[in-house]
Amino acid sequence: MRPRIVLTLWRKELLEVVRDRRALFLMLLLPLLLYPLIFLIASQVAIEQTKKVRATVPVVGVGPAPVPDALVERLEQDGKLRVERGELAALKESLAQQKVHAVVALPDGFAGTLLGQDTAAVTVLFDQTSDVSSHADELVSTALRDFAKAVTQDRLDRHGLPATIARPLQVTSQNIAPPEKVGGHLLGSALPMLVIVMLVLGAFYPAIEVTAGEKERGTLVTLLTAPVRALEIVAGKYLSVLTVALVTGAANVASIGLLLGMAVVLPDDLRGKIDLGLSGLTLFRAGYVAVLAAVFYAALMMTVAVLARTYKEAQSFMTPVYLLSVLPSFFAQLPGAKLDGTLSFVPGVNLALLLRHVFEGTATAQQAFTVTLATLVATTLVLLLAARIFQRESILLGQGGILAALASPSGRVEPVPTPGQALGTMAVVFVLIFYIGSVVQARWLLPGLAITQWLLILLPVLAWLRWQRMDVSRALGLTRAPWTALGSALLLGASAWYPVLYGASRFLADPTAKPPPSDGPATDPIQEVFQRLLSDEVSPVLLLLVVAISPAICEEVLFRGLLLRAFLRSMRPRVAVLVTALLFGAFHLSLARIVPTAALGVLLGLLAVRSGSLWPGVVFHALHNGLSLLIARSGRDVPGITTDGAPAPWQLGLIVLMLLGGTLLLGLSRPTASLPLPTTGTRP
Amino acid sequence: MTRIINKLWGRVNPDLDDFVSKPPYVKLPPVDSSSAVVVQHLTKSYGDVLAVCDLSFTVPAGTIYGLVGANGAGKTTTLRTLAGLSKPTSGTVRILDADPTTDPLIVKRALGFHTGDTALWGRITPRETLQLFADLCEVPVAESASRIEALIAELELGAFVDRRCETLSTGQRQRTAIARTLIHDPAVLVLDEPTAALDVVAARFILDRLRLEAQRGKAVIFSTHHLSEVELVSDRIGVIHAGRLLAEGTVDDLLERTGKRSLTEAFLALVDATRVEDVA
Repeated sequence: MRPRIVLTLWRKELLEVVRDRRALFLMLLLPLLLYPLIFLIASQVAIEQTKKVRATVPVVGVGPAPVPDALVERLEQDGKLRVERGELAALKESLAQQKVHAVVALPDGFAGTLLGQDTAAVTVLFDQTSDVSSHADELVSTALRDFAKAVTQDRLDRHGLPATIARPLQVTSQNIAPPEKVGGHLLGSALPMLVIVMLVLGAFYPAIEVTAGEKERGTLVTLLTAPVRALEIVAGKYLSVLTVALVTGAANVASIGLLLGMAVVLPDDLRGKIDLGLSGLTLFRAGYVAVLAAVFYAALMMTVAVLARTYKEAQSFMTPVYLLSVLPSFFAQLPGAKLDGTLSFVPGVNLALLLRHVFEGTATAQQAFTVTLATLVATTLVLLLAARIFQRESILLGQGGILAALASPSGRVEPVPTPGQALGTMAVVFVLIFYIGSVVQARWLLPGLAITQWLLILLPVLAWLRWQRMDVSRALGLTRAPWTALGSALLLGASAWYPVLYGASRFLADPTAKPPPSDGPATDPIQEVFQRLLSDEVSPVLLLLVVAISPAICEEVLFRGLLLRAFLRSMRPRVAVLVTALLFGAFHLSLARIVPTAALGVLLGLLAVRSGSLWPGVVFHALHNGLSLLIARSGRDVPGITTDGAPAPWQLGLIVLMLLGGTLLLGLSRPTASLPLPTTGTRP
Repeated sequence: MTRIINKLWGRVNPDLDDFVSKPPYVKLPPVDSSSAVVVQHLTKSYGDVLAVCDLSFTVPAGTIYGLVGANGAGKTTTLRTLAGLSKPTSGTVRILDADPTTDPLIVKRALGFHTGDTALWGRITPRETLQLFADLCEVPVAESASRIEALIAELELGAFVDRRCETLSTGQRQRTAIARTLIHDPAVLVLDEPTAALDVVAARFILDRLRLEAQRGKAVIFSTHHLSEVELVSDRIGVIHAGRLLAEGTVDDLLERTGKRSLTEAFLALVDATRVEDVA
């Protein structure tokens, strides 16, 4: 993939979008109009309603007779209420007919009770479904409270007592969060969902425009006559859809921000309503999730649109995708919905759940990491699918069924996998591990780990290579390694565990995973597995087989075999090593270990590139994992890692071993000698 | 797995083998494999439909090859196969000794392809279209500006070069599309109906241009259903009907072979011959 070509295509797509009024409207103008409108309409409706209610003077029926004049005076005091006297039955009838808005039912001998010392039970009848009636109830209750105060004062005066005797406490409560702000918080958590829905809506149109739209107008064929690869076209188009999605998202956020800014000049009763009550950090985290959502949904929508032959067809294909972007939001609002286990890997749902955790303030960095990884894997898969569809002429030229075209094998047989093919295989392996591996490991740990390694990592890679009729030993580098490389692998494997554990100990309390002192849950997935492994009574031989030998073979085949050698086709060796190492680090699903694991990946990559063979990496990997396990199992303290303190002399010896191994590695005389390096245009 | 899915979904025409094994109606001259464009036994089917059947011809550098046929004869399919947009069901295509199926990038760099419907991006100007293709073809930045200016002058795009393509007339679009195919100075020019829907003057402009490009050493192949046009500029002519190449050669060859006086009569005679055979 050539970045400059991708950028050229990206620029062209954006130029078209920018010059399209319809797209611009959806992208920029709609959000700028939408939020002020929502708020203005909502607040106007509320204000109008209140005004209307306050404009009518509610009629309050009081009965039965006799009704004290003082009470009537108190009720009619500010002219806010009009009193109608009558018998209770007649008044209740009038209330039902809304001729009277509230009824004050007095007990028998009401006037007498007031003069005595007892309490008179007064009932206020009103109709909650009527705004005027509810308003009348409020006014009546206030007036009755005032009346009661006056009666109390009267009684105290008659007995010559001070007013304070009836008021032993004066309590004032001050609510620091006004009710509007509580509502604002709810609004605040709904807004990011709205932003996600809006950015999906913003990407909706360009996703169709750059795919089915181009097909329908015939310009796609024009583009395909240029010397550009399918993956480059897909990447350029995807970037443009993503850009539009992000710009739409930003326009939405800006619009909300503008509204909040406006709040300063708004009247008081409006200002309170649009205070979101969110901290800057929460908004920043929510923004990150929204960006992830854009990354994923832009890819999904574009890929679905690629399948369509016409604009209209694309629109009908897209509707389910649009719903799919909204549904997880509802799912995430279900009580008790939590981001864990398999749900972390369900695209869309994991984003909605992460967003919920962000607003509840319970999101962890590990969760964000897992969701990011899962989203990126899903996006890669979806985009590779789009590229595959793009290579199908029948779909491109708008002929034939979709399924038939997808099922037909690609025309060219590659001798060694391309980077795209390798990434696709890796993404499939990741998905298998997410959904099957995590389940079997949770049920049976040791067999689960073995199944993950051999059946979910090694088997798919080998099966895919066989299916593509590729030379397995050439694709994976199963060639004899020079002795110096094997020696270097032995030296490094014997010593590298120390700096790796040391690195991990900077992030984790105890990376060797002795049971945690406080019985608290382990936050690191690898540590968790280690703890469970060591807590069972398993023979060390079996442990070594599953935790050291299996990953050494299976993970090396995937990373230093398939991926690294595929990347070497189109990348410089050091870039290929670095990219593979980062994927290797991410693969371990542990945020805390990503740096040490990636560093390990760099060493393994260098071994593979320098030796031209997979085997030194296997030796190194097996030794490294085995030693780490044995040290954890022995339960011995390691200065600098499990305890503070200066390193012991034998640890310095390890450093010497590492340096020796490193020197051997760099001294290898044939870098990349037997690696597959055909880029494009290989002919049989 | 694929094989199973193919069996379930793919429909193979049982008569296909019979079609392919039929001898061509006119004996074809031997193929010169040193030519810029070499097509050998090209067959292409879409599901049940056989679009092109056992086509062979060559186009040497510096010459113009005219592909004549009625609508739906298989011209577009043939030309798209040259550009690698369509993969042959059987047979081979080589452009400057490269195969469009396995080396699409090498072929597309060597080839300027003009699509039949002159589809241009409506909201982009001709100048921007030229710049886009210069960038996609990796024309060096130092050269691209002067090449664009030269093409604007030669194809007389000046009057509308900064207007959006959606506002252009058919002739203006056609000239823009041809400038686009020339931007990377390809060795082979493939044009699908470059004069369709043009008036006589505009068509003549395009044809003169093709002649000039051939004189500059390009191998040019174009399709049309106007017989007068091929007569005017082509060095060799291929008559294609219902997916088969009925006859191939210079104008004189064809007249001589059919014993007719004009190319139109010769064309009709060739097409009629297939009808008679179909009936028989």
